[in-house]
Amino acid sequence: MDTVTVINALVSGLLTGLVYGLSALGLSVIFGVIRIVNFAHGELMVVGMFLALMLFRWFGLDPLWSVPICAALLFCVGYALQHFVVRRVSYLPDHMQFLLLAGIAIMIVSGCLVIFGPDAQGVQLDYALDSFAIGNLIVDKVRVYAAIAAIVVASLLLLFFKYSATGRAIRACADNYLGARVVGLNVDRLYALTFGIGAACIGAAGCIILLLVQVHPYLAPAYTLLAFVVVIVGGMGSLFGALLGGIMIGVSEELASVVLQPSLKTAFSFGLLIVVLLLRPQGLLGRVVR
Amino acid sequence: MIIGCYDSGITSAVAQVCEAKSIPLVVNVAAAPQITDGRFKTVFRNFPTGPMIASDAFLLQKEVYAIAGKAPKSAVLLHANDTFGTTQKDASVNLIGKFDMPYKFADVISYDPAARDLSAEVRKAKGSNAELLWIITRLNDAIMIVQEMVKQRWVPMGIVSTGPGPYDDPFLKQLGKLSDDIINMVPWFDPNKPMSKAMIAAWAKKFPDRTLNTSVSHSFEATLIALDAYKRAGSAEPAKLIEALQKTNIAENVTVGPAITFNEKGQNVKTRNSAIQNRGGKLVSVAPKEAAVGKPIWPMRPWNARG
Repeated sequence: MDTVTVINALVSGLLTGLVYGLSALGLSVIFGVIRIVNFAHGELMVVGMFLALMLFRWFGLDPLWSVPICAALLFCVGYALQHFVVRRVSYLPDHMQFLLLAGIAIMIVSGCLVIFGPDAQGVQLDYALDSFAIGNLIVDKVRVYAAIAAIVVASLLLLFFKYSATGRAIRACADNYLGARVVGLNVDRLYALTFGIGAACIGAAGCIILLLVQVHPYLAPAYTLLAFVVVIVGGMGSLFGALLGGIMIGVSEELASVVLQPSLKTAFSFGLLIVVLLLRPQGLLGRVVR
Repeated sequence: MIIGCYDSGITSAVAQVCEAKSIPLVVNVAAAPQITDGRFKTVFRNFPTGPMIASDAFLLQKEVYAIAGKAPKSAVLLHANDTFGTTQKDASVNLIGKFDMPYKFADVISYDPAARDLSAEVRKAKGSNAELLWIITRLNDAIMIVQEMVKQRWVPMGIVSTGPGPYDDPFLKQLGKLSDDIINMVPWFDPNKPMSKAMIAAWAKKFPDRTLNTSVSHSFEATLIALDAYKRAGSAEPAKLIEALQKTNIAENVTVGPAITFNEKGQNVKTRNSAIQNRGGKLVSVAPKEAAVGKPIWPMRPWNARG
């Protein structure tokens, strides 16, 4: 296998991995604070993708410019979901929470099937088939734009949690639930905000991913699984871990395709997951909870 | 009597049920060789098997290269890893040695037909430095492959396909001029036969916006076979229909090849394929000579050099 092909694969994997990382950030945010595993993750992403698709068809809006709109809409959905539904089952055992969110996921998929049908649909952009060439390195434009958008959204999220008062309050809830209540923080409202932010992140990722793949309702479980792999490898609850996990999965898939067989790329990324679970079960940047 | 079922995996399953219930099955489209391997007495297939498609593909390629005066020295095979794709791949790889082709396979790459993204697969195929890309695809993956080839700026000498996808209407419409010059080496109708001309005219009148392709022509002939058997049997009893199907001999037909007959395993071994090239949203038969209505464009034109 020649060096040019390997380098092209590495760059492509890095760019794709950044988008994977963004898509997993929402899952990590929600679990990191609320300690709820969002099993409707992929379904919310598909909703974001369909929203971006509709904005493109109705208004000719490029999915990149749809990111703020879809993020805002999914924020409202996530906020309402946490406030009216998830909060009421947070005291129940984990498997009951799983069933609730799995049920919501099925409802979302069914709704998408009724509204949009089962066929794969995508956006036809003028630059969709363009690529940048730097010597023998050829990178397609949509992948570069998607990666840049992922970096921007992830950066905004990280800055929000680090420097804003609300972000610090949310982190306080994550670090010490009882302490947060004692000092007077409205934890229920902050949890709803967190779920909303996580959902907004997922919606943003959905818009960006629509640049790369076509959307159909049955896409959701694959992205839920991918997000789980990414956050488990990176460390559940760690935002930087989600990005690192995404990059590792993206790069490992591309390298496996080039060195082995493309049909083994998913198996390779799951192999990486198993290795991480065996050697460092908290994930690469996750914390051990005692 | 049942006519069906397009997908080889599904047809195999249906064949077993039909055999168990002694119901005749006329296969319109399905290439897996095991469907007519002698196990089933109720199955009759008027569609070539995977090895037959591969064999014809080699012969048709030789004809195309002879007309064009240029042949590839290496090839890469990129195929879906479903029943159809794997069957076709096995046949192509196993039979190439019998046809004295000007090229060898530099690589054979499989992919999941439900994959969201085929950039890695196309990159690996491009990395083989092969002059010929041979694809065995379904529809969505065929579209993704060509799109990736454009993005990765890969222009091989040519692309041949021995499966569905590149001749389907959504492929031609979505890709436009990017769909041009691909040669499909597939079961097809002979446009020069009188019944074909009548079929083409009737189709154009009823479905002016849809292209007449393999699925249509072979479903048409499967219906012809079923009706012919029913007429000769004089009854709808499965046993009589099966007996009539075994004696099928339909000289007036639409597909490439002589009269429709079935051997002792229920397979029409005389049906042949055509080389059909995509041109401006239309499908032009370029080989074999007796079924051709145009000359092949070979090598294929660069992506940005198509008017």
